[in-house]
Amino acid sequence: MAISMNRERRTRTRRPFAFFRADAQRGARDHERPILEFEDVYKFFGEEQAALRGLNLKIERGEFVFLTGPSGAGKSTMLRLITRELGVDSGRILFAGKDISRLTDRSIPYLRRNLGIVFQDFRIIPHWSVAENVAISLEVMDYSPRLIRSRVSEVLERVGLEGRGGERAGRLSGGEQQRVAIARAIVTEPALILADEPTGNLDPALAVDILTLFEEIHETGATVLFATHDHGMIERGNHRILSLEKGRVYDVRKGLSSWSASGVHTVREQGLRVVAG
Amino acid sequence: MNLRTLITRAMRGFREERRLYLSAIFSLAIAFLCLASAILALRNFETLSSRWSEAGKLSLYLDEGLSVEATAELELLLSGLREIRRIEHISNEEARLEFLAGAVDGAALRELPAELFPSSLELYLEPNLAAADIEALATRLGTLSGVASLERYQSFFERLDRMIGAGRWGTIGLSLLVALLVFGVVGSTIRLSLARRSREIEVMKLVGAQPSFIRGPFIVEGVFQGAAAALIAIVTLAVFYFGFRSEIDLGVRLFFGGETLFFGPGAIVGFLIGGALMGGLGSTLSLRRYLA
Ligand SMILES: Nc1ncnc2c1ncn2[C@@H]1O[C@H](COP(=O)(O)OP(=O)(O)O)[C@@H](O)[C@H]1O
Ligand SMILES: [Mg+2]
Repeated sequence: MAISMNRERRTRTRRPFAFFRADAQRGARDHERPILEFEDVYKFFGEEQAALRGLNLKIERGEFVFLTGPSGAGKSTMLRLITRELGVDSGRILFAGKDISRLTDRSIPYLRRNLGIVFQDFRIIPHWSVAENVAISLEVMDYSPRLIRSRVSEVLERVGLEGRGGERAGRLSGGEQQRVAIARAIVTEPALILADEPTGNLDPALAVDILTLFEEIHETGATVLFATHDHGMIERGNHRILSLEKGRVYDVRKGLSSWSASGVHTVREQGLRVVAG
Repeated sequence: MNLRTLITRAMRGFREERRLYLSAIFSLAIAFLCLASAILALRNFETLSSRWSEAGKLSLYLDEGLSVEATAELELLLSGLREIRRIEHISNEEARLEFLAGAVDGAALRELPAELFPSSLELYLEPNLAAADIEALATRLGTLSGVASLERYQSFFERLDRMIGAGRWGTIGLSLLVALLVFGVVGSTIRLSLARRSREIEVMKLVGAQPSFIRGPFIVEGVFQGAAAALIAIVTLAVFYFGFRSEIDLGVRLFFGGETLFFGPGAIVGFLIGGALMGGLGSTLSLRRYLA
């Protein structure tokens, strides 16, 4: 598949996959570590307002995980801790075995190059072309314009925007704009894809298309953490479910058939396995 | 960073903010034009002054009523001296006319008798005489019989030198002022375009851009603004200079003898590079200030 063809070439470039600048002794064992671990993570906004209180979780490589919970539960906060837009107040977050809560400001860009991030509001640049919007992920990594062009056209094909690279991104429909954002997120083959309510601004039918696209991307080997409070989305996929509530996370194993629109509380009464905390 | 990508991104920024950049370039060009004019004037004064003091001139004012024969004898004596290149005799009447030509209102003065204006021998010296040689010559000439007094134009030179010195300081001050203006204009341009491109910057940070990647195009744009403004200033100055050259040179010849010069190719290149550096430095400083 297009998305994996460059893996070899990438590891030979100057800064292969490294999110630590001097990543010389990155051990083979790190590749066996879970892609993401939260260890007793606390995050406060103000003195007594705790968004996350003692969060523990593990996500293995190649998983597709729904992150759910009511609005205000802390889903976005959790994702922003992973991207280091925010820092933890206590605890550790391990990405591929490395503690990212201790990263220096200079290293944060290298972390983000290993993450693919998709938002509810797309965050594309409307006056740039579709191709320019996608290319920016590779441009920050110093690839040659020629390589960028070929990678961008491959990835546009993957997200169903074949041949539309020259169009102004702002002229596209909402669903198409989100596809551009997804292309931008996956064009670097990131180790982990984070999606924060990516279907929140879309019609139900389009939302299903976008979910399907994420599932296809997952099938090529990517790890996906998909935050949504839309139970309709969750019911459609047979994936692991993490439920955030009152700053803690509860793990609902996949295959749960009776996930209902009535929400988290119902599920919990049915006997959730509390991972930790 | 990939240079082609950098230039492409800078060009994209320029396209998107064309108006903003054009008005910035325009105001910078005016500032550079002032600076370039000052530098050009100063350089010409310096050249003229050194040329004139090299090809120096002395005036020997003759005793009142000195006979024609005595004058001719004196002239003969002087023409034998190796320091003197050329001698010009100015009679009382010629001196009077010259004075009247320079006077603001000649009407009342026209009645003055020619005898009031001393006749003189204007001595044009050989070029490249050392100051000490001129000094010695002047002392010698002052003692000759028939010579009433001797004018070395020292005070004039001193005044000219003082003027040039002041002009130098003025130009340095003007350069600083222009540098401040460049920093101000480039800075506010950058602040505006940073605000307008906040979304792009957010996206770039999101996909792992280093701060240098984000700054790069802004610095290129600053360099371009500075260089473009300097170019416009030089071209404008050249158009004015060559357009009015005959008038300018006429005035200059009247007072100094000799003609003016425009900047040479080296100076022009230096000016353009200076403009580019100022623009680049201005954008670097303002990015440090405004880009969190
Ligand atoms: N920057 C912030 N400043 C103060 N409070 C915040 C900030 N970001 C989030 N919060 C608070 O943290 C809690 C979790 O928010 P969020 O992570 O956005 O929830 P979700 O994405 O699950 O809807 C909410 O109570 C929210 O008000
Ligand atoms: Mg949210």
